[in-house]
Amino acid sequence: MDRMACVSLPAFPLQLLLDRFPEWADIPAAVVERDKPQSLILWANETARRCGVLPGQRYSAGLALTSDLRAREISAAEIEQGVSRLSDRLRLFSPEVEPSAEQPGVFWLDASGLEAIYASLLEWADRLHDELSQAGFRCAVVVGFTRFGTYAVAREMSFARGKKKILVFRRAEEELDAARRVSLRCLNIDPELRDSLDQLGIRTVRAFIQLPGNGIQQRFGLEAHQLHRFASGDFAIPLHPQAAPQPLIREIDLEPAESDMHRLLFLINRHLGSLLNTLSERREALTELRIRLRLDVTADDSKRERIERIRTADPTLDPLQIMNLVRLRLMGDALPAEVVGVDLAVRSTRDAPKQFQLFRQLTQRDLQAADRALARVRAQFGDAAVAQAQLEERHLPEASFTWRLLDHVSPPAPQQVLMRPLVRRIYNRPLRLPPRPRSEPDGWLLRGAEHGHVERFSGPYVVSGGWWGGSVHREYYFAQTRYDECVWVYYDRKRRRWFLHGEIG
Amino acid sequence: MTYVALWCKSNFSFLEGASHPAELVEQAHSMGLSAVALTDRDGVYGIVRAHVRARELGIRLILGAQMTLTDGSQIVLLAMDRGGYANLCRLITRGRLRNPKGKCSVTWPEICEHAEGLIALWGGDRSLLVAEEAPHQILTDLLEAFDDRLYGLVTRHRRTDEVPQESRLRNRAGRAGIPLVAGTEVLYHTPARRDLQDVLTCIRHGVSLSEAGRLIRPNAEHDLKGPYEFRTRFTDDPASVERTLEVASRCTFALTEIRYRYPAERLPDGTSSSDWLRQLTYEGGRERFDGTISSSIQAQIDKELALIDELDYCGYFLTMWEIVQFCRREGILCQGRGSAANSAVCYCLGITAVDPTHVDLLFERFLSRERNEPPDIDLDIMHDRREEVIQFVYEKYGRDHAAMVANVVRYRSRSAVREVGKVFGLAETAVDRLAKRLFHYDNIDAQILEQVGLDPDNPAHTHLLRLADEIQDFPRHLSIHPGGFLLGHEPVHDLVPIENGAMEDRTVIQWDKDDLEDLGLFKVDLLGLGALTQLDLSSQLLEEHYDLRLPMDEIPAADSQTFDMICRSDTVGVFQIESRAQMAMLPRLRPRTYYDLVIQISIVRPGPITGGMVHPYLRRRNNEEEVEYPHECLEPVLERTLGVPLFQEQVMQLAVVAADYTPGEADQLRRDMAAWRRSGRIERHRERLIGRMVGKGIKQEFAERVFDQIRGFGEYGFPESHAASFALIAYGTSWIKCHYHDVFTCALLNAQPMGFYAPATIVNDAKRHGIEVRAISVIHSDWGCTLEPRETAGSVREAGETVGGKFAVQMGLRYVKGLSETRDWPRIEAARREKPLTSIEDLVHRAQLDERIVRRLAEAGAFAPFEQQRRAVLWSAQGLTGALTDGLELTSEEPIPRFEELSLFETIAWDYQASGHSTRGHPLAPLRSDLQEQGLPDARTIVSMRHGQKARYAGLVICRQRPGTAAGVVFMTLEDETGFVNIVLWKKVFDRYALLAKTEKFLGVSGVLQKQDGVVHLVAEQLWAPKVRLKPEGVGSRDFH
Repeated sequence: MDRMACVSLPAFPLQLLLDRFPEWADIPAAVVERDKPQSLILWANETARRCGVLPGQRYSAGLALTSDLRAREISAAEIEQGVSRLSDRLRLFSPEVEPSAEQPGVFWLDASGLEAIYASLLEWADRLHDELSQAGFRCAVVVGFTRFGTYAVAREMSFARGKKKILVFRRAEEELDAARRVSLRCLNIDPELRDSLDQLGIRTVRAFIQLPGNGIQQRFGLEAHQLHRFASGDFAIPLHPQAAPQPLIREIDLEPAESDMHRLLFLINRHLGSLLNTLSERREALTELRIRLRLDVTADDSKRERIERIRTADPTLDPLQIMNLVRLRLMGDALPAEVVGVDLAVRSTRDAPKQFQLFRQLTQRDLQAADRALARVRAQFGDAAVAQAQLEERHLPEASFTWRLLDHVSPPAPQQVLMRPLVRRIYNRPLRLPPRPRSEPDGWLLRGAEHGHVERFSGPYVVSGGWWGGSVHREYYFAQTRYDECVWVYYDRKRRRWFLHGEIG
Repeated sequence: MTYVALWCKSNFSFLEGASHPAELVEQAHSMGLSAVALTDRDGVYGIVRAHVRARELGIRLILGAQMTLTDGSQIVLLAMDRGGYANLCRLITRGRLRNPKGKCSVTWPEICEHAEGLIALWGGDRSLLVAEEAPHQILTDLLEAFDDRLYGLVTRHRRTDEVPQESRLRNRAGRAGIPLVAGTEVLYHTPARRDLQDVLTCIRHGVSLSEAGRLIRPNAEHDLKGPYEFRTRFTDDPASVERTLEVASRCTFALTEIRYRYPAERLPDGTSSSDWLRQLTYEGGRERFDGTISSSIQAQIDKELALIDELDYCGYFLTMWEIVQFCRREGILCQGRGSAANSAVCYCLGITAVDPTHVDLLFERFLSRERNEPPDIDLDIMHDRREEVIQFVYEKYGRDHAAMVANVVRYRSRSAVREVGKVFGLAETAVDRLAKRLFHYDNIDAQILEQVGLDPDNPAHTHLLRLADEIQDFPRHLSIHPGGFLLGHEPVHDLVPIENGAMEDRTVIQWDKDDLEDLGLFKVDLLGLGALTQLDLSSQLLEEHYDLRLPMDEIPAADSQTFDMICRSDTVGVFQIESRAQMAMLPRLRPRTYYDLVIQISIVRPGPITGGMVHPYLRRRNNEEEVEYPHECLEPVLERTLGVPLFQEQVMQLAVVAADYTPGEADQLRRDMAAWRRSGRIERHRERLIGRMVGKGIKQEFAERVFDQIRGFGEYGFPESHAASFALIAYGTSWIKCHYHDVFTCALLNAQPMGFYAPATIVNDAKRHGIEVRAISVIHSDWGCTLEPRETAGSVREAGETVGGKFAVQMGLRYVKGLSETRDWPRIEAARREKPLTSIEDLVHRAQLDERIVRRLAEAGAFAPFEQQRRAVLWSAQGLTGALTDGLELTSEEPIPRFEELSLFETIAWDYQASGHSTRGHPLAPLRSDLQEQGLPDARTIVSMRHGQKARYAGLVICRQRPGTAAGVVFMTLEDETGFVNIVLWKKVFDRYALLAKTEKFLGVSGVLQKQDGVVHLVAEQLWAPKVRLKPEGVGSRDFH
């Protein structure tokens, strides 16, 4: 008979919170729905519970009970990450692990045949429990025969006191009997349904399954009916283990070592083809190819390898396009040493099929072609070679724009500006000017005599702020030199220095 | 040479300006400016405060506003004269009323339409005159409307982008021949407030400082500039600086010019309002005094009428009379209170109910020639019909002539910490933790930061401390005063702009009650009072069931049975004397007359308590101490309270008599008392009062005690006139409770929510008095509670206590939680009217009730006439509604599963959960045997135990109180099926058991009994959670501070 195990980590998000803030273990702490005072408390630790703080209360109400109550929101992404981390750990004990989709912190494992590897299933469960405990998690492990049975008993055990919560059922009847004794409060069922059943005096699985199934469906809906079927044993879903992500890589050892780039490119092309085939089977497309060239040992240890990341314009399975980019990247530089191995790794995305256009409209600007061109530029000159200036709503001139890496070209949307800004060029780092002398018989020479002294000076225009962290006070001036050079300078009142910040033209 | 700042915004440009109006005025004065303008964004909220300060300092205030246009641009308008000010108010009103609360926008044609008497300053960042595109048409229109009153406003804040803006402005103004005037946009009186201005901007836009970017100003150049700095900034254009003086000289309007006339009534031909008032007063007086007005009352009436006429307040009294008449016509119970109760005229007009022949009240507290300030009449109206009266006022005077008074919501320490914390991007839960540690006016210090786990050395936290402190008392937004109306002879929007309130159909002026008081404007307060609703319902029930027509003023006075009941503290549900503290005082004070009730109501107040006046008064009343007066001149003042000052009026009289205060000074003392904690203004009376009293031969010690008491009164003082009005209602409700407890209970339950106790306590109290209270039923219950004949009818009296009543109280469906009076009740009623209900299915089918409602009714046991087993009913009801929505037949063939029967304990718990009370029993009744086994007595036994005896008790917590005057002592009231037990928790006991005290609904207490004058308290030594099989359901305690 197939054996199934359920691992239940009670209040999983709270366990993640305490994993993140271990110093909160001994003070009242809670997981809240959102970082708002009126937010609901979802889970509370033992210290908080002792102070009367309970899930379902508002954070502000909890605070009225204990003014030390710490709280944080645990995002869905963090929970997903935690589940994934634990799934990896659990795969050390069984290749087939299914994390619960509805209830983070509950996992089902296929335990069939494991007594052949471990001394017994109890031994297996014990080691699994130890593994999670050592990682700082509290859990209960139940080995039985059915999904619902192991789940119900594990949930009940996980809330009970005691250190080691392990149970292995020998017979299916034992599991059935134990599951039917479980209180409905321990199961993760819709609170409204649970309260409704509680009102009717239905508090255990046994009492629940004695209610007529149709009546349940009529009154409480399909979900409740499904639970009823699970609990009654009328319905069972086999284990759906989550597949472990398989990285798509090729490791090629070269014997003898290779020093010719053309031959290397042929080699890469050959393996790339098989990688693309695999991607195609998975209905995925390549977005990035990572090439690691393992170099022959030289005196300089830091050059044991060369790593290149090639990004395509769009997800693609076209080897020609990819190899063009690889060629642009690799052919530019000579290899510092012979190559003893090549590793290829692929990053991919789900391939979204596109509708072919029968009558493709010709546009004046082919944006896809532009994207491909940019990909080539990136391939040849590096990722940082393609960037776009973006305006930012900031007062400091150097903060009023940023450079953003450009992946895709978008159609231009120019705004009409009647009055152009005076300053046409801004130095990313203002140039430090010599101190302004007290006596200037020849006038103020900003950049030496060859640029001429300042003849007109207009200002100050003040930019000050950032008092909440690193305050700034600059007094800007427009300065016109004798040789009609117009520059933009400022006096930094905090640093007591002059700087050249831009040119006017 | 000086200049005038013409564009200044205070913190009444909500969340933009960072200085109080008075600070701007003070700064301008200290800089030697001759005038300053206040031009808040789309409003004149702050002008009264600025005006008051400017008048004190002798600096001229120019009034105006920065108007927002529908295109998003702006223009500054200044009032030249009264007409201009009225135009400005009208314009703002128009812009405000077309927008939701908090927003305002006007159109250019509207600006031009209201141009008369206004000067327009056109400039600044968001002005169209500096925009890239020239506003040709608007410029032409404005020139036509404003002529030489249109100025181009050249602003310089040391910003680079101002250079091209100014160039455009100069070009356009030059071509159109518009003169230029220099200015800066002043947002704070000193550059030190720049940080706060940044924070306010972030709050306004809902962003943190790191996200704010260009939303915040680029520099700190928006302070009020001194004359030298301002002129230096405009060295190249001195003419535009000179022109600020020219503009200022053209603006001659001041708020003192507002001459306010109260709306006059439509008078019968040829009758002046004064004659009309006299006629009504005497007509009313004859009715009040059974046709004969005594000479002393007549003299009082004549004196009052002469003063009212002299001060031209006849219209105000006629308005109040009109409102009271409306209430009478419509059967809305109302009663004036406050200082108006000191007036015989108000009594004759039916505005108040306190007979001046019975109570010696101080008329000068209400109206005095010297003070020449409008009287303040508060009208209490039965709370469920107050809206009708409000709508009547709007309808009668029109929305132009009547608007509700505003209430400025200001930052207090908690709101300050929360909002400033958000601006610094701190975790909201952490900031909330900090906020919860603070009290209302607390300063925030580093120690508190540490206590909540925030690092005081973190720069963000340091800034938080500083700025949360600075922002306190800043206006946040406007809300509506609970009942204050401003009524005007002229349209109100010529006096002050009117805007929309958050509540539908409400319009509100831009000033609050202090502003009105400062300007000497009239206000009418229409306040809701639940006790009047209760009295009204009682009187209807008496007429309907006992055939007894008994208006409030005909309730038999000085009824000994009623006072006996009051002396026994049997006052659950009685207006004003039902609280724990009042009930504890009743057996000690033992009121036997109406005036005793006036004192009873006033004495349990923080003022007399902190002033240490309660015990001396009680000792003198019980002849344990001799009545003596500190000086013979004070005897007439203090005689009625046995030489102990208990009322606010007495303190004023005392200041007049003993310290030679004029009535005006005495009234100022009253105002300063009310504001002492905020302003500290009371201290300036200290030397004057004490010195003069000592000079008159009053002992220093008494004088100092009186001063301390004045301070205590300041915050919590209770005027005799209020108490006198309240005592009438307290007596009325007591009398009904004493003689018609069934009527009293039914009316009180229908008037909920009101009062001190939850409905469950009222029901339990009624049952303890032998009243039969019937459970909610879909067949027998109306929406409200009703009286039904009892099978064993008749009132029985045993040992002086009313037992039972002629009628049983049938609980109404209004008590089923979640049932709606407008949606569900009409359907049920219609189904019942159509034909008698035969089954649950019949009701559900004919009333088309949804599942939620059927569940609620089933949970409340309202289907009991059809089926007693509530769980089975619930199961069936849920199934029925499912079938109903499916359009299937209602009859079901499916057998009903067997459910466990509800125990009595569960039945009561279900009742409490579904309806907040139970007629079937008290939640502790089923546990009594358990409790007895543990040696825990019931409340009745506790009361019979002896003083000093140790006792253990367990009961449901129905009230927690921590009065500010009790030095941390917490009072709790616990209830069981036999009555109440009052618990006293000393601070250290409370601190030790704080969690239990704050959270447990069912609480155990061990302590020592304290019995004095029939008042029993259990002084707690230990608190504990009782060990019982089942946890009883409570209704939740009503907690007060």
